[in-house]
This record gives sequence, C-alpha cells and structure tokens, in this order.
Amino acid sequence: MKIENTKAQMRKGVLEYCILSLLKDNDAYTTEILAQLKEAKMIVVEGTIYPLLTRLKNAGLLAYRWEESTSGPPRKYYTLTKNGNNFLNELHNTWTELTTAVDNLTKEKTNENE
Amino acid sequence: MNKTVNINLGGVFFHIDEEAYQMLKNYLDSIRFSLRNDPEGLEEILNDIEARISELLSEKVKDNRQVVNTTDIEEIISIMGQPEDYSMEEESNDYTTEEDPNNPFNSKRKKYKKKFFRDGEDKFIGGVAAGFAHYVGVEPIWIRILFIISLFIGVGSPILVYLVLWILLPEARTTSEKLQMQGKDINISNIQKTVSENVERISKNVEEFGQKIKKKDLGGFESSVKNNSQKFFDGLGNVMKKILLAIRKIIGIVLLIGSIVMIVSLIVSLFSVNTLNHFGIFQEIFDNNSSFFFENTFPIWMISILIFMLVLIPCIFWLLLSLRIISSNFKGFNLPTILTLVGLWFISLLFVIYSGIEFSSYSVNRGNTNQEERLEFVKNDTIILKALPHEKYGSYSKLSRHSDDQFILENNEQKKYSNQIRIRVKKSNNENSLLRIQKESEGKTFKNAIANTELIDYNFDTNEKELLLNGYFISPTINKRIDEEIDLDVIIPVGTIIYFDDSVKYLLSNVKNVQRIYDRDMINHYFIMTKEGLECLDCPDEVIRNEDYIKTTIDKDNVSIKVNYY
Repeated sequence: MKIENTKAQMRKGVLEYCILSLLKDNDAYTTEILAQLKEAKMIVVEGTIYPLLTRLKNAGLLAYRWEESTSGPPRKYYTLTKNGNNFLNELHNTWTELTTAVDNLTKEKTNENE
Repeated sequence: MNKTVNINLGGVFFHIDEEAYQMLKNYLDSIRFSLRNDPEGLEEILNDIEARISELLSEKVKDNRQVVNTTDIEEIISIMGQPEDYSMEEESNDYTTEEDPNNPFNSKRKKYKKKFFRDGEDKFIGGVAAGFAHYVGVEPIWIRILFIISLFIGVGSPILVYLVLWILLPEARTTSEKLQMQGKDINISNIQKTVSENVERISKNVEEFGQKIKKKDLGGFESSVKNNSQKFFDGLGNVMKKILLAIRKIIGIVLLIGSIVMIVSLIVSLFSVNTLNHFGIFQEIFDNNSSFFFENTFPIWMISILIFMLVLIPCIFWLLLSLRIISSNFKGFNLPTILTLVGLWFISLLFVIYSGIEFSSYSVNRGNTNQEERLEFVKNDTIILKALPHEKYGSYSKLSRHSDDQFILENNEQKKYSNQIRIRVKKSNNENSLLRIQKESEGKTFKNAIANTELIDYNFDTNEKELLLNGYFISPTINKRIDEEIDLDVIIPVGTIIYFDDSVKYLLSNVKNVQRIYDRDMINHYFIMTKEGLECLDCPDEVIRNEDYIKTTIDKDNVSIKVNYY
C-alpha cells in the first residue's frame, strides 16, 4: 500500500460531500469551486472535478445555468437542487456520526499508546 | 522559428505554436480516451475542461499577440492533472499498487487492447502491412516480404485481400489511435514520446527535402523506392482529389444501389429457393431437378445457405466499399468482424467445393439389366415395327431419341419422362423372335446403378402383325445428371420380313444392314433378315451405300441385285 494512494482515496471519498456543502448557501461556477477545494487542499489536480460535477448533475443533485461574464465566455453556475439538498443533509449526518466514531476510536488508540 | 496555429478553445481565440498545439490536442485526446467508459457525459465534461483550460490560458496570455507555447501547456497539464486522473473508475486509480502486479485491476489498467489500424506514416501503398505489423508486433518489412511471397503463391489473390483491408480499416490519425495501434498505454509520457517522434520525423523530412532539392539542382536523381511509391500515391491523391470527389460520390452511389439490390435479391432468392423453388436468380442452380442436390452429403437447404453466404459476403464487402467511397468518415468493420466474415466465406467455399467434388465424382458407375421377351410371330411372316408415344405426355412428332427429358407428376410423385430409346434389329440364332430390353442407368456404385435400372418402367405390346414398342420410358430417377437409356434389340430369325413404320424413324440406332442404308432411309421399307443380315427389299438405289454390294451382285448375276439373297 502506498500512503499517497490511501490519502488520495480518503479525499476522494468525501469530495462529493465537500462539493455539495460548498454549494449549499450560494451558487458557484466551476473555477470558484475549484479554487475553494484547492485552498482547502481537498484536491491536487483539477481534472478529477469535471467528471464528478457532471455525474452529480446527471444524478439530479446539481443543476446549472449559464451566466454572462465580464471577461471571457459565459460561465457555468452550479446550484444545489432539492434532491441535492436532501442528499447533502443525509451525508452531513453520516459524516458527523463518522467523525465522532473515528475521533473516539483514534483517541482511545492514541491514549493507549501513550 | 515556429509555425503558429489559431484555435478556438472554449469560445476564446488563441495563437498557439504548432508543437504546443500538438501537445494540447494529444492531451485532450488522452482525456477523451480515459473517459471512454462514460460516453454519456463525455462531451459535456470535455467542454467544461476546454473552458477551464481556456480560462487558465487567458490568465497567462495577457496580450492578444502573445503565443501559447509548450511551457504554458505543460503548466496547464500540471494544474489539470494527468489524463488518468480524470477517470472516475476507482479500481483503475487507487487500490492497485505497484507491489501487487497480480491484481487483476492492475493488469486491466495497464493493458489497453491493441487495435488494427492502417499506419499512414509508414506506408508503401495504404499502410496495411505496417498496421498489421504493429498489430502482431513485428517489423513491417517481414509482413511486406510475406505479402510479396503470398502474391506468388496465391496468384495475385492477396491483392484483393489487401484492397479489402485498405478499404475497411481506418487509418490511425490521432495520437491515441496511433498508440492503440502499437498497443501502448495512452498516457502523457507515451503521447509526448509520440509527439517528439513526430517532430523529429518532420524535421528529418524537411532535411531530406532540402537535400533532394540540392541533388535535383545537380541533375542527379536518387530516391528510395519507398519514397517514390509514397509520393506517387500521395501526389496522385492530392492532385486528383477534387476532380475525383464528385465522380467518386457518383460511383459510390451506383455501387451502393447495386450492392443493396444484390443483397435484397439474394435474400429473396434464398427464401424462394427453400419455399417456392422456382423463382430467384439461382433458379438454374437450385432447380429442383438439378443433379447437384442428389445424393449429396449435405441437405439442399444447407447448400443453399452456403452458396448464399459465398455470394453474400462479397456483397457485404461491396456494400462497405461503396459506403466508404461515399463517405470517408465511414470506418468500416473492426478486425474481428472482418476476420469472421472472411472465415465464414472460406468455410462456405470449402463446403461448396467439397459438394462440388462429391457431385462430380458421382455417377461414375454405369449398370444395365437385360430382359428378354419372346415374341410370338409366325416364321417368315412380316412384322410391322411401330413406336407409340405416351398418351398424355408425348406425341408422334416428339418420338425422338434426341428430345429432352421431361419431368412429370405421376401419382403426386415427380418422375422423368424420357425418349432415350435405341432400337436395333438383329438376327436370331434360332427360329424364335425375341425382344431384348436392356435398361441402362448410373449410380454412385455399380449396385446403385443396377437398382436404378430396375426402377425404369418400360412396356411394349404385340398383336398379330405389329410390334408396338413404347417410344418412351418413365423413371423415378429425376436426377438430371443420371443418364438413363433403353436399348431395344428386336431379334428375328432368318427369313422374317420387317417393315419400319414412320414412328421409329428417330429411334433406330445404326441398324446394320447389308446395303449399309442409313436408319432414316429404312423407314417405310421392307427388310428381310438374311444370313448376312438385314436386306432391303424395296429401297431405291441411291440410298444404298455399300458399293461392293451392288458390284458383287451385279458381277454374279447381271439380271437382279436382290435375287441372290432371297
């Protein structure tokens, strides 16, 4: 097992959750989503995002609209659909449960180790 | 100095240098390839990616006159990630590790299937040999040598195979297709390698071109055969392209219509062969009475289908050829399909050849049966020899050995009605009159032939003065190939007079007589059986062909030529 692969895999697993969360309060266009994800070090290369966004859109969790931009061609603004919102809420619950569980487990382990 | 290309990327205009353009194009091709398992979203994803690349490039290119170069593209690739990063397939990306080469996902990822393309870059004529060489993984020269050898063995037929492959195989155009042709992974490092090879070759070509010009200036002419053939075919293509395009389309459409008509009529004829029997273009071959289907190992429907395939498959290639002529975008079939079709064709060919051999080796054995019937005629009496036609199927005018066999229905069974009857008159060794009926037939074996003779139905009749021979026979053997006939020997004792009725005119077969009179001249004359053979009693001199007969008789007795034997 390579550590890099495991890390990437962990990130990838929660990527959908992150994207949906980003769009919860306000719509965003691809570059903005990318910028935030990169800043948070969720992604290293941008390539991964495009198929994922299309997949979420095709699954009916996201919708998009075209908006004119002052510089350059129109931009694709993504917005969360009602389905997407429900989906996000469920993911959120699961995530909370998961982090609590993982926290508890890892805490105990580290305590024992000390 | 570098050439630049203008591109429209995500709705924005860029100047990009040629090398960078190739790199970007290959990058997008590779992304397309790694997303190939997601055809639904493919175009959309690619559009998004192009839009993003365009955005990133716009940030770099502030001035409209600035040219995008390879460094920019490299930077963009490092931001966007390798083509493999785009793939959503988890198994192909994450869980596999290099320490675990046996992992099936690993091998799945590493081995892209090799595809058969024509190699347009390494070609003599169409690049088929080079493409095949890539496909089997050898140097093209070996394939070419094999091809030339096979030309001699196959009497030129490989040319057809070559043409078919040329027509049906797409040329590897994009870098990813070229890599697929060589069975290499489509990843950035391979693509870059290919691109740099391309660049190398282009610069080499430029160099060669320069040298050639120099040589031409000096008046020398030196060029490899390969360059010549390549130049010839390329040059021909370029010069004639525009003129030929219109003609090509017309020819293509004509061919297309032709092939469709062919295929439709083939299908129609296949069905009619197996149902109606009497329609379609194969009527001759598939005629129910055609001997081809008798005593063949394979049933009629099977041979029909095999012959059908034998003709249909070339028609399919014909159809593809015409489609390809009409539209160069038409890619044709992939290799497995082509190989299957060619294989099927050869299998059909083998079966049909086998049937053909079986067919031609058939009916080699001829058998006959003899049957003798006593005729009750009074000695020294006159017999009138007559032939009778069939009440229903025959007529006096058709009483001829040379008329064709007919096929008739008797009790709902198809039978052959034949006039293959030979009548001869011979001398009896005793006082009795006989009719010897010799039936002849053919079969796979001698036994079969004899069995066939026994099925032949033949009758005759006599009354006081007349011998009424049927001028026909009926046989259940409807195989056209089997030749059947009946020899009738009318055997009469010396002293008997026989009269040949008009009806036997075309059934007599070299009836021996002392005067050597032709059969047809014997009609309506009286003959007497003498010790030497038949002798005409009332024939005119001009029909007598035996000059000795006349001489000797005249020498012996100056008064009469007939008295001697009487």
